[in-house]
Amino acid sequence: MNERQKLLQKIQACCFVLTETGLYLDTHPSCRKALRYFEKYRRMRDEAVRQYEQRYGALTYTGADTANGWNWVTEPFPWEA
Amino acid sequence: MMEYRNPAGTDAVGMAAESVTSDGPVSRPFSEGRPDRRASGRRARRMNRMQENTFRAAGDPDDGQTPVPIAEDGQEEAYCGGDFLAGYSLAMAYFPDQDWAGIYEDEAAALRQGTLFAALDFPFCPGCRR
Repeated sequence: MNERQKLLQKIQACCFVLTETGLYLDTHPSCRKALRYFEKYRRMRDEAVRQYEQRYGALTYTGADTANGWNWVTEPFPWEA
Repeated sequence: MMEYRNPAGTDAVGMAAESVTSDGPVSRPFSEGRPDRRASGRRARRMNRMQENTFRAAGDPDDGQTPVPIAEDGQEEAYCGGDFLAGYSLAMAYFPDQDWAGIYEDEAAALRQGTLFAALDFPFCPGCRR
């Protein structure tokens, strides 16, 4: 597994934790432990996405770099990693 | 004070029950709700009868003998519930409140297991024992 794939896997796992924690928070909206956990993983996920997009280009539309054209279609798609 | 009860006069399984009044549930003394041996026998026979009635009423739609209701326009009527257990309360479900515990700290492991919570980690493995 190369670095790009490792980073993608990290993002995927973080997103999964956010989904699971979010579902828990739907029924326990004031649970501080869960809220802190969500925050921790949101930061982790944001940082991993930032690193990925800096190195390998846009992960989604919203991460596209418009300074030098529409790099969403000019660079390899994430699933081509 | 208005009192509401199961129309059958008892709860579905005959265990310690509570009556519901307009002021909220009122528990009966435990000794009153505790089933004695004869009551257990009666309950078992009643449950057996209910089960038999269930099968009798449901029938087998593919056996060619079970009558299918036909509406006036000739279409088969959709099944909208039966009354063979009329008088019994509808099913009651419960679920315990989940707490924030047993979290898989390794997010990759959570993704692999398909859940973040050890308490919800039930690998689909029919016939297996954990």
